[in-house]
Amino acid sequence: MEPVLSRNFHLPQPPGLAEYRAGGGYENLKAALDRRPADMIEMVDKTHLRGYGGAGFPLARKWKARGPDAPHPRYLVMNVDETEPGSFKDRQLLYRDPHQVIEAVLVTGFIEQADHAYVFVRGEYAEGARRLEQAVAEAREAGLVGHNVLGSGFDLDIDVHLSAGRYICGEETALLNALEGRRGNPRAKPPMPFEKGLWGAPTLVHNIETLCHVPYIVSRGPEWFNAQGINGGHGTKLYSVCGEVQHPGFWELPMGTTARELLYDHAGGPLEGQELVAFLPGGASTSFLLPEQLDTPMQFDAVAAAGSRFGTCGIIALGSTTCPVEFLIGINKFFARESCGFCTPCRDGLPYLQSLLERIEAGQGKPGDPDLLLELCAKIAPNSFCPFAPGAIMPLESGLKVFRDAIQDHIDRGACPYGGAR
Amino acid sequence: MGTFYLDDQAIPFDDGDNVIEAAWAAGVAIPHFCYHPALGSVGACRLCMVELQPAGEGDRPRTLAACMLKAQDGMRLSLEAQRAVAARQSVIELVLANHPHDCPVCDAAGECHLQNMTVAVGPAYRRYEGTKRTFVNQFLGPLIWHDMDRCITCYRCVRYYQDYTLGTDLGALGSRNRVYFGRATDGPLESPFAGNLVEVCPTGVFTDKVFRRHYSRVWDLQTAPSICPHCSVGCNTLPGARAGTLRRVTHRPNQRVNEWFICDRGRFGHRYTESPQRPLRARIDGHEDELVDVLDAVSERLADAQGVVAGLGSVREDMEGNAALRSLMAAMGGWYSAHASPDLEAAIAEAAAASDAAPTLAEIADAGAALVVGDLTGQAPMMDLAVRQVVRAGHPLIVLHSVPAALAAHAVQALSLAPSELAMALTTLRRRIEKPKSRANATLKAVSETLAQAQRPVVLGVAETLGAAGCRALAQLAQAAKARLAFALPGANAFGTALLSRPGDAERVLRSVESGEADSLIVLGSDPFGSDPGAARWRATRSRLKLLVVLDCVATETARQADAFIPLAALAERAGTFVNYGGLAQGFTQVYARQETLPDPYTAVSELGHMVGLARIRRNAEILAYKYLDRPPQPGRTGIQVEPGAYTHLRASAEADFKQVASPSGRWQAALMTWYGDGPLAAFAPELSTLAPSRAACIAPGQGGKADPPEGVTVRLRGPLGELSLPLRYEPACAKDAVGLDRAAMAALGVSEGEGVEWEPQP
Repeated sequence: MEPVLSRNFHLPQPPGLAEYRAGGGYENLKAALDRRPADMIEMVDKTHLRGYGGAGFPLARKWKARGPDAPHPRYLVMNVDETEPGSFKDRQLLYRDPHQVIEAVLVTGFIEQADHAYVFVRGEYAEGARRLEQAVAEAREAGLVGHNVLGSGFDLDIDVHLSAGRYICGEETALLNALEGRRGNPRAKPPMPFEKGLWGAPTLVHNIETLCHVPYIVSRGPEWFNAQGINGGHGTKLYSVCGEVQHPGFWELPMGTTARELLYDHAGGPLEGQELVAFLPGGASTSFLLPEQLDTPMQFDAVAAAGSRFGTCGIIALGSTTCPVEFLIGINKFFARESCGFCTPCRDGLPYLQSLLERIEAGQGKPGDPDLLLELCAKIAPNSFCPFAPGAIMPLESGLKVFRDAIQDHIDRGACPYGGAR
Repeated sequence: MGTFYLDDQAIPFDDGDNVIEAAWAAGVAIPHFCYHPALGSVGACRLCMVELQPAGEGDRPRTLAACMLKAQDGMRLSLEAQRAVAARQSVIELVLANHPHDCPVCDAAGECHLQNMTVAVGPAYRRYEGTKRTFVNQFLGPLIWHDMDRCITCYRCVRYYQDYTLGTDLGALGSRNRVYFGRATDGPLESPFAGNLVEVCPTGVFTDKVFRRHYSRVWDLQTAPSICPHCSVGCNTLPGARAGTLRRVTHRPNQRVNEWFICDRGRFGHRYTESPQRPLRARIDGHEDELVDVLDAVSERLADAQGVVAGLGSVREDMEGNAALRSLMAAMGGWYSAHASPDLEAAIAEAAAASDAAPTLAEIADAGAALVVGDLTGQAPMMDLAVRQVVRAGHPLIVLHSVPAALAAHAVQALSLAPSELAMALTTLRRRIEKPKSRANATLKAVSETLAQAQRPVVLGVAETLGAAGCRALAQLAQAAKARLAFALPGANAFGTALLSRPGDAERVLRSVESGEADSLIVLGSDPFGSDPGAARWRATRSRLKLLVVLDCVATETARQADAFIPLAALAERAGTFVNYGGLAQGFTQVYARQETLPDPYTAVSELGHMVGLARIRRNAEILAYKYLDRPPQPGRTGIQVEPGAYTHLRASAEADFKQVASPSGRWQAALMTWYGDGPLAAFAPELSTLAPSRAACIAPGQGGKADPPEGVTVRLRGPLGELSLPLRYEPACAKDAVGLDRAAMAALGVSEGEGVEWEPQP
């Protein structure tokens, strides 16, 4: 398979403007500027391209929801606030090919007829943001960004904003609050951001990986894109695997590649002396899949059918020597800590879960604890303000079922059978 | 319009209503924490969960927050559904996980919304066994006590403080289950409305620190409906007393005045009743005596007096007391006025005459633009809070001021003008609106355009700052701009005393004393020899008076100089009637009785009349006090509007004393500086008064030829009545040529608004 998004990743340094252009860079932009935005929306609509930030909303439907008549100013926000545990694919795009990111923003901005674009970058990706800013300056100098892009009459300037650093700022409405200088709390929907977003103006927020596909689609066509997928998937996907595997890493592969191929062929299988117990398919905020589901094609519908969520498709593998309670504690601790503190179920519920998990791990668990945990999960997820808590509950709720015996073992023995928390 | 069903009860709603509002209006209280009628819905606490029944085949029931759910016709909801009950109970369980359960020692216990919700919603028992998170509390000044461990993170406090009052020094800090509601550093809360945090907080995070020091369980407090005595807005309050002392004051809703809040002067100013200086014993010739003996001695001296008697009532005393004094004077052949200053009497009469369609606070808040003249924050704080809602709604605010005014910070146009220029500026604005091509400078042009374009504009002015001429100019501007008009009057009953006054009364009272015609003076709740406006002329008459009788509840300078002193019951210790800035007469009732025998002014004056053989005073006073109403307004009701037809005489009253503002002889003009804790009563409140700005002579920097003298240098000011040394302070918001002074400094110098002062060293 010919790499698309990662075609420049083999270079020792991220390509500068000249090098990027020499490899055909910004040609897609030129092609796009010659087309009509409405036509390009139809092209993308034929690709089944969905949001790769986790929610998986079809890109063209988002465009159509806002419509061509939305009032100005309109904003385009590229979301590079990749903070999902187990996901590190956006980082590659940001660090290793910044001009590809800029081209994606420009093409999308032209399709949306946006007035200004912001790239919202995760706080820990400061170096990547710096590189992107340099590249934007370079591109602006070359007439690619800002007034009259490539002489087309289309204006679009790009601002790179480094987040102050919270997981929740990756949620689009919290992101908009953060961009406006407010607390990074999610906003109530409706109004949707495409109606009233940044400073009350129509705003579309997209994941970086999603947008990086757009220039290729509009220049090579939807048929080309769709043909690259396998097992019901479309296009290519930046997959990543981490956890207890031989070779954690990321690969651009056809969408629909099976979990088995990812975990065994690319990541080298479980660590020496371990067996694969379970894996989270789409980053931390998804439900566990089991070894018997390894042949699930890693694409949105197939993973959903298997009972989990495709998410960002950052796979986390759990090996047989790790205590699953400890694993769940690690995940829940992250979410309890990253809760914005706005609504009660999330803010106070996740730490409550944490206290129960910790006492089980410490051998202090009580017989009713597994049921209490499940009861709390069932009350926290559906009653919270935004999708954060449902995401946080997913691995825990499924883990409580998948690892029920191991948890019961902790309670019965009054100690962690894996030797943890001694 | 439409109807939805909540557990089969039909609930009507207006378009745009959310479910919690519509249910509330229909008498169904859906449990909630973060929702507040004044602050709206944000969906943070998740307590108001209801189940939405499936609309069609195959839909599943969903639990949703009623505060965020727009009512739709035919919608079927349930509070009782098992899932909704479980969701609400879960929220109670979770917010209580970290709550300290210190109800036995918590000041909020007994009126704690969290307690109420816990009992109403359940669960009855806690399960959480983990450690609780704790916080370090902050020092928030003398008025508010902070206890963050009790916080249930409903965000009401910051929504009130930041969104509603436009305050900036209290915020939500941190995240997750460690969100902290406080200031960046310890220190007094800066907002004039900070005290409402006590009532907005659904539990005991923010509590009344003053109450705390003289605490009573709230169910042991004696309460009764009252009216705030600290300014002309007439906010409805609920004072709470125990064991013969007043402990606290909270808001009492009245949609015609204040619905949800009161200002900090109203909440904490009541402490004048417990001031260590409060005079509680009757006094004659410097020694204390029984009340009845002092009244007896006074009546004898009045009967023996050679000259006539003059009576000076007060804008801060009720209708009944002022009417009694006027009746007594009428019977004894002396003059009565409630106003020590003829100029101020004219200003009040002019303002009241023009206030026949004054907007309520809610109507001010709903305005499409506001023009404010003077420091509304210092003279009618709750009117200021209403204006902040105009700003919050994104509508323009214009402020004209001579000295710093807190609202100017939120104005789209703030003009700093010397007192002598104010009335002229208002006239120019009016002409521009009447004839858009008439001459005006660029700023006034812009202001007149803002005003002319606005929907539902309001125009608000401080009567004391404007004077009669300024009040008239403002009223004419309001008419030209088709704006609603209201004035902040100088006293809780200033409108009422204007009703009781006749043209030229203040001048007549003064002249009768100045000429020696009157050699006895009865002062009821005024301070003519101290810091009342008009003190300059009064002070010169003191030596001519053979008898000065003072009735008051605070230790004023005039009370100190009295030959005979009668201690009065303070506001919540008696009943009475005030007429507010808009002509709304409101009754207040006695909340508690002190140990000491303290008469109300009506009784004290009537008794005096009885003793001098004028038994009819009591009845006459009653007739006079309620002349403009059908009947005495009932305490706890919403008040009786004085019909505008009843006070057409006010215009004549204003004419009698009306004078154009004289141009000051020298360059520098005195301008009164006020602050929200100001006032003749509140000044005696120990805790509130610690927040008073330090005394200074304030001018704008850069007015000298060369370099400004250093800030803090002592300057000597000279006025008609004397000299005064004050430190110099630079206030950029002061107008050119204006010297900002507090009330006591103005009185000491003998100057009123816009009058000339000299000072050295000159810049």
